Amino acid sequence: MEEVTAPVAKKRRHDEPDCQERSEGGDADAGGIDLISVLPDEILGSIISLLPTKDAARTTVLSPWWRHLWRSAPLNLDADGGLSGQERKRISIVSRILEAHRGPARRLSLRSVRLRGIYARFDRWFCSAALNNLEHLDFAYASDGRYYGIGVDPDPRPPRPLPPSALRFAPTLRTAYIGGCDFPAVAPAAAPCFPRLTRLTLYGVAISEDALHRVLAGCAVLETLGLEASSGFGAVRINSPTLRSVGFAVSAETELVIEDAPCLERLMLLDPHSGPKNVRVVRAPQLKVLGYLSDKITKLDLGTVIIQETMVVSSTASLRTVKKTMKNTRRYNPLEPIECLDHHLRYI
Amino acid sequence: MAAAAAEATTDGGGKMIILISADGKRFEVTEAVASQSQLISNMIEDDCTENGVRLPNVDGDILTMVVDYCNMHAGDAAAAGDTMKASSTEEELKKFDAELVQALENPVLFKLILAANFLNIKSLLDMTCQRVADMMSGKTPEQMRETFSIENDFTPEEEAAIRQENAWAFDD
Repeated sequence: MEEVTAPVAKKRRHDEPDCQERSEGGDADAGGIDLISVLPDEILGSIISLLPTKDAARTTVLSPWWRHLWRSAPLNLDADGGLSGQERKRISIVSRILEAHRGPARRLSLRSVRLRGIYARFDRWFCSAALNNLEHLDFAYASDGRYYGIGVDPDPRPPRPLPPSALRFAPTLRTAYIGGCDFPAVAPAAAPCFPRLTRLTLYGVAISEDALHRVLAGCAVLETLGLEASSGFGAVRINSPTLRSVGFAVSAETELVIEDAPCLERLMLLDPHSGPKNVRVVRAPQLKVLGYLSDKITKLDLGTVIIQETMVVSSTASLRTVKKTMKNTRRYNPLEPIECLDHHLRYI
Repeated sequence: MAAAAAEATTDGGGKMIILISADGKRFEVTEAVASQSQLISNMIEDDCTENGVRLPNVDGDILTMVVDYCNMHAGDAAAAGDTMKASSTEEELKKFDAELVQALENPVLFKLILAANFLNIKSLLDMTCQRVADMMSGKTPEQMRETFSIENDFTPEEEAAIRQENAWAFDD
């Protein structure tokens, strides 16, 4: 018979002498005893890292045992209004937390601070050891009242550079939302690799076509890609063996080409009033959902069938030959039926 | 223990494994069910489960819950290929998980966490840790201490000094 007597990988606090001290008198009594503090530090750290930032910091006064757990637990820093209603205070609190923490970090959510002349501070934050091994990044410069939407002449607007130091998290990121900033240039030799990133959203980001494709090429296991209100590229080419869902809402001049995406199931063109202008699907054998079909799309090429500008209203005959089962999320008008969709629609 | 029982197979051909709790309760489960424990999965790989696996630091009542959980979740991987089937199963699983953690009282919850950690069942560990976090969220330190019977060994002066260190966390 196999007897498993000791944990294989994890250190157990109550195997250690100080645990005796902590649970002294505890096991003999039922109820009313402190059992949570007997959990291994690693688990207490996981629990603390699931708490909102403020609640997590409050655990430092629970008892001497909890005193230093927060500082060494994986950091979950949500720099939103919950930290303080005043931006100036939020900035100071974020700096203090990052100075006090030892890292690693599980999550950083930073969307409530404006750039306003503190680029160097953002850069210092990103470089902080407290954020080492960050897994979830949720970043956007808070709005400074200017409009940065797509189709806006980029010249008169002030730059909002994302410090390149933000890309140092690439090796450990699992999810990333990057918004409201100018993405740094990415040199071919120094292109970041994102070996664990499964979800990437760029919202309101100015990014060059080269940088965008180098980032996408570095994503080995990406499943969900969102590209919205972003600019700086004329064409997006998707090649991914793992991507399952793409959400796309960009300038009406953009071209989207799905070159090879064997797992792609959902191609969501999110804004019925914007681009892309051309959509070309070369290979996406699993594609099940396509929509909205914006009237800004002048060319939709699904491999064997090319549908021109007015396809939604008058190209029912051509569409009937499309072999794929599609779920059209366009606001559907039964007076202008798309016949192949009628044949295959399962739900709207 | 009868070796024959330990080596019995299910109708589907999966090999059976016997788990034995600290108080001697025996649980016969398929390899697929037991493999959700990374610890046991490693033992299966190393061919160390032929004569059953004794788990001297997991009580029978806790192991019952763990085995129920693993039985319920064993279909996950099998159903993943079938989207429609997976989505209905997913709802059932969510309901099962929610009811499981909601019903847990403090001492049992922590024993289950220790068991999930020891057996290395990540999803069960994540779920039970999340339950504890939910019980702490939005609470003052006093309420947290009360919820988990944490004894405050700080002198008032010590506590005041620590509060001062992170005053922003205590300003409401």
